[in-house]
Amino acid sequence: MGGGTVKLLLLALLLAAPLASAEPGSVRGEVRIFVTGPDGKQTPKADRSGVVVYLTGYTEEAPTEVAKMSQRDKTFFPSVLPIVAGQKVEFANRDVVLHNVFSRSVARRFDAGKNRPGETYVETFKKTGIIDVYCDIHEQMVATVVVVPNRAFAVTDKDGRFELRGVPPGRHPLFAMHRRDEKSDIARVEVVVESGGTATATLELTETRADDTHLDKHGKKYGPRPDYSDKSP
Amino acid sequence: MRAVRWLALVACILGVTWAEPALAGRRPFIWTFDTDIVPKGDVELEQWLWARSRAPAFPSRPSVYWIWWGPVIGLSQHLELAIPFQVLATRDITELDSFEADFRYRLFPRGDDRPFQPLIRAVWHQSIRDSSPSRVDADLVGSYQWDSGLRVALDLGTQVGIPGLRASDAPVQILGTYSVGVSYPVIEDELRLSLESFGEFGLKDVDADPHVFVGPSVAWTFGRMWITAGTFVGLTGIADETPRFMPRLIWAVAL
Repeated sequence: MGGGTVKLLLLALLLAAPLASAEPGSVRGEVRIFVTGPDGKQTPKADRSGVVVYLTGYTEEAPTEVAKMSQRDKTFFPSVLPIVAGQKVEFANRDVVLHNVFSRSVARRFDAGKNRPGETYVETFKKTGIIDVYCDIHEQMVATVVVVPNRAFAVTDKDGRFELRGVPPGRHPLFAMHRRDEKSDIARVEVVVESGGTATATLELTETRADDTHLDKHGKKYGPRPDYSDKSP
Repeated sequence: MRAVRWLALVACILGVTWAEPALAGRRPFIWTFDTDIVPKGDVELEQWLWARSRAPAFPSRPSVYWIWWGPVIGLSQHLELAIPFQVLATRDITELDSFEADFRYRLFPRGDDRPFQPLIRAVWHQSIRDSSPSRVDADLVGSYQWDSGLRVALDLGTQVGIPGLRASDAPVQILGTYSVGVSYPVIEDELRLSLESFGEFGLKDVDADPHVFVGPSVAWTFGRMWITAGTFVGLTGIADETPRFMPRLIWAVAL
C-alpha cells in the first residue's frame, strides 16, 4: 500500500467520522403528575396518560400523512393531538349531530363551518403552538392540537412513560404539556443526546382544575343552539 | 335629534372597540372580489355603500349613490350565495334598482392551504328600472398569498346586458371589467392596507368610454364584523369619462 493510498484512506476516515457520529439517538423517560387537593397537599396522580412530550431546537419536514381528530358522542377523539408544523388535520364528524369545529387560538384561527354527520374538514397548521379546539354548537367539546417543530414527540402511557426516537445528537430542550382532562403548566428540562445513545429525563407537572369556560367562535357566550338531531343523548 | 344620532354613533364606536378580534376580514379590497367565502352553514349580512362623482368631461352628469344590501349564505365549503337588493340615488331620485342572485364558487374548498386560490362568480342581476337591462355578470378571480401575508388578487369580469328580456329590440350589451389589488397585513388577522385598480370598458354596444381608477383601502376585522373602506381616484388623464372619485364602504356582520 503506497503512502498516497494511506493518506487517502485516512482522509476518508476523517471525513466519515462526523457522519458516523451523527447517528440519531433517543430520549426515554417519565412524566410525574401531582394533583393539589383542597387542603393544599400534593398527591401523585395514578393515570398519567395523555401528556404530550416534545423536543425543540430543530425543525423537520411535516409528514404527508393527514392526522385525524373526529367527533363522536359530542366528544373529540383524540382530545389531544400532537402534529408537526405544516401537517394537515382532518376533522371528521362521526357523530349523529351537527358540529362546527373552530379555534380562536393565536397560533391558528380557523372555522370549519357546520358539518353534518359523515362530512369532513381539513385544516393545515403551519405554525408551532398550542391550539384550543372547540365546537360552536356544543360548549362541552374541548380538544387541543399541539403543533411541534419536529417528529420527536410522544404521548405518555398510563404510567407516564414516553420514548422519543430519531433525535439528533446534542443538547435539546424537552417539554411536557398536559391538556387531556385537566390542564397544567408546561414542564421543561434539558437533555443531552449522544450519538446513537439514549438519554433519560423525568418531568414533573402540577395539575390545576381545568378552566373549561370559553367563548363561541364569534367571541360571545354560548346560548342554546340546535344541532338538528333528536338522536342526541 | 342630533343628540340621538351622536349617542348612536358613540354606542357603535364603543361596541366596536370592546368587541374581541375574530377571524380576518373576508375581503381586503373595495372592488376586487377575493376568494374567501362564508363558512358552511353560516349567514352574514353584508352591505356596500358607494358613489360615483361627476366626470370632468361631463360636469352636468350627476353623482350617483348605491346601497347594496343582503344576506350572504355559506352553502358548502366551496359555494356561497348572496341575495341582495340595490338602491340607487341621485340628487333628484331614490329608487329600487335591482335584485341579484350572486353565486361565488371556490375551486378548492375552505381550509385548503394552497397559496393560489381561484374563484368563479356568477350573478343574475334583475333590473327593475326601465333604463338599464337585466344582465348576467361573470368573474374569474384568483388570489395568491405569501407566508408574509402579502396578498394579490386579480378579478376579470364581464357584464352581459340583455334588453330583449323586456321585449326591447336593443342589442345585447357587453361590458368588460378588470380589477387588481395588493394587500398587506399591518396587524395579522385584524388590519390590512391595500391598493387596487379597477377599470371598465365597453366590449359591445356600450355607449360609454372606458373608466379607469386606482386607490387605497383599509380592512379591519373585529368581533363578528368586518369592514373595508377606501376610495378610487379616476385616472381622468387616461379616460376623461372616468368619474373623479368612487369611494366605497363594505361591512358585514355574522348572524
